[in-house]
Amino acid sequence: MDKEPIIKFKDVHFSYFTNSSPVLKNIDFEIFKNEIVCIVGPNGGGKTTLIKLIAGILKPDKGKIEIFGSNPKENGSKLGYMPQSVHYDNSFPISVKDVVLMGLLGKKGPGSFFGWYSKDDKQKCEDALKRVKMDKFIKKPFYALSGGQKQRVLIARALISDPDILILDEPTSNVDSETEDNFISLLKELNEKNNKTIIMVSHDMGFVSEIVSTVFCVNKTLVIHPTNILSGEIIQEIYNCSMQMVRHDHRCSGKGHIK
Amino acid sequence: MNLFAEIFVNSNLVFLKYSLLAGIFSSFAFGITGSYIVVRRISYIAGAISHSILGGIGFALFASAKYNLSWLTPYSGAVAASIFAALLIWFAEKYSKERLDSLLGAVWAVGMAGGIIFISITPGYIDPMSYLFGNILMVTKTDVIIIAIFSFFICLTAFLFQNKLIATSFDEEFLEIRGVRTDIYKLMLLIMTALTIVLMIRIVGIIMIIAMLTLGPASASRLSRNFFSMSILSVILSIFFVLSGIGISFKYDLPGGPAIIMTAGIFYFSVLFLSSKNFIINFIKNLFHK
Repeated sequence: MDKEPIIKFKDVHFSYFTNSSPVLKNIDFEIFKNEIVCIVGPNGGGKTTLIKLIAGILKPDKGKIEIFGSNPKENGSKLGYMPQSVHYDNSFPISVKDVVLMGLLGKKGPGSFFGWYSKDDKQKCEDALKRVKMDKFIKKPFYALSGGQKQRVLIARALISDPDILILDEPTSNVDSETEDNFISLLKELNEKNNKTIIMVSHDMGFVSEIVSTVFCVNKTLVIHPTNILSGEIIQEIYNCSMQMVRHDHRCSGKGHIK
Repeated sequence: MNLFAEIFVNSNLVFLKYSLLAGIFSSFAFGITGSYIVVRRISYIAGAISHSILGGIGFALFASAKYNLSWLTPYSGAVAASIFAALLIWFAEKYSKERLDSLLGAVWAVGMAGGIIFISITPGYIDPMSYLFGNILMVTKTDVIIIAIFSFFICLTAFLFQNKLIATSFDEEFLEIRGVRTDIYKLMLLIMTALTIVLMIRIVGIIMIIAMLTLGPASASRLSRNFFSMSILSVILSIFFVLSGIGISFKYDLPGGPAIIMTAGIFYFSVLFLSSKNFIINFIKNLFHK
């Protein structure tokens, strides 16, 4: 693990409207290369807002955010993003190939004004799909895929620009447990073999504890829990911060983690 | 087909030839823009823009009669009003916290009201009906040329920016994170919508134009697997609706615009019925089993 943090938040405050109460306040953290961070917290606690701040879609009211030592807005191509699967229109006529290629749009360079894809880009698309074992589906319409397949295609779209950081918003919602297991091993592989730093938002603690090195508990403010000292007490604390998790987790007793 | 041969050859039917050509040329823009409107689910925005056009037409008629501005044609009034409405909707969506549907309702109704008021104070008699429901007798040769040029540029824009426009329609949030200015592509789509609507105002009129934008693409989306084939099929369907609608109106002496919309509507409902036939059959079966 490198000493220099790749993401750095310093005393960040954010509210959506001026004069309204802040969604996030006093956010202070550092994320290092090759970490897998999981952001948990109750609905409306500011998880998605935090992700949008990292991605540079939102600007903080106060405080400083540095990604690779510079402003988040300048790092679009170093971030691979996978939104929540619920936000897709299930009748949108688009092929898997076009969905994945979309991950290259916006980069600087030739063709970026009109956004036409080159042969090289199409090769990248195939490679990205191969990496998630979805290359056979390249010509299929996106809406015809199962939940787990869609998820893999969306990961391929996040990977196609070869980002250093992967940001995943609720990656395991709407998939069954077998798909989830496959997905966890995919993330593990991306983290270990390809040196991707992974940040994900999740409700599912069972999923969290398996591969994650740090848990960020977000509810207006931020509490950080390294998983290697994840004791029963801390689990309780995390649970207090997110009642949602208690119901979703299938591996925990009231006293703490069984694992 | 004899019917269409007659329309093109018979010099007494020159108005029909012009409206047929106008319909065919504008169908390209309608199929493509309409596909975006259907997949983005913004037909209500198209509805507001089209109705607001009456304001522009009314103003143009009034100003040109009152101040003798012969260059201020109803068409240029329509173009100005539609672009103004598109910009207003875009700005409001981007910067104001007003609910979009309230704003659209206002644009819709104020445009209509303004149009009717201007028409009523314009010297001489003007029948607003022909603008509201279309009149194929009004299409001129100049109109056909203007429509062909506009339609060409709308299609060219859609073609050149296709990847970005489709991507913006599919997943705006993702593109924003990639640093793509999605607001610009949304504006591009709104302007394309505004100009496309103007193209067929003469033929089908302000009130029914929304059907021309949505019925073809909505039918096509049930029959195609990607956006490209959907828009090609939409263009073909739009041409088919125009040809058969005008043919029917000529043969049975019916108003042209409504005949075109009827054809489109019947086609749409048939596709809808056929594609959900199994569902309907099962529903009825279940009904009797219980």
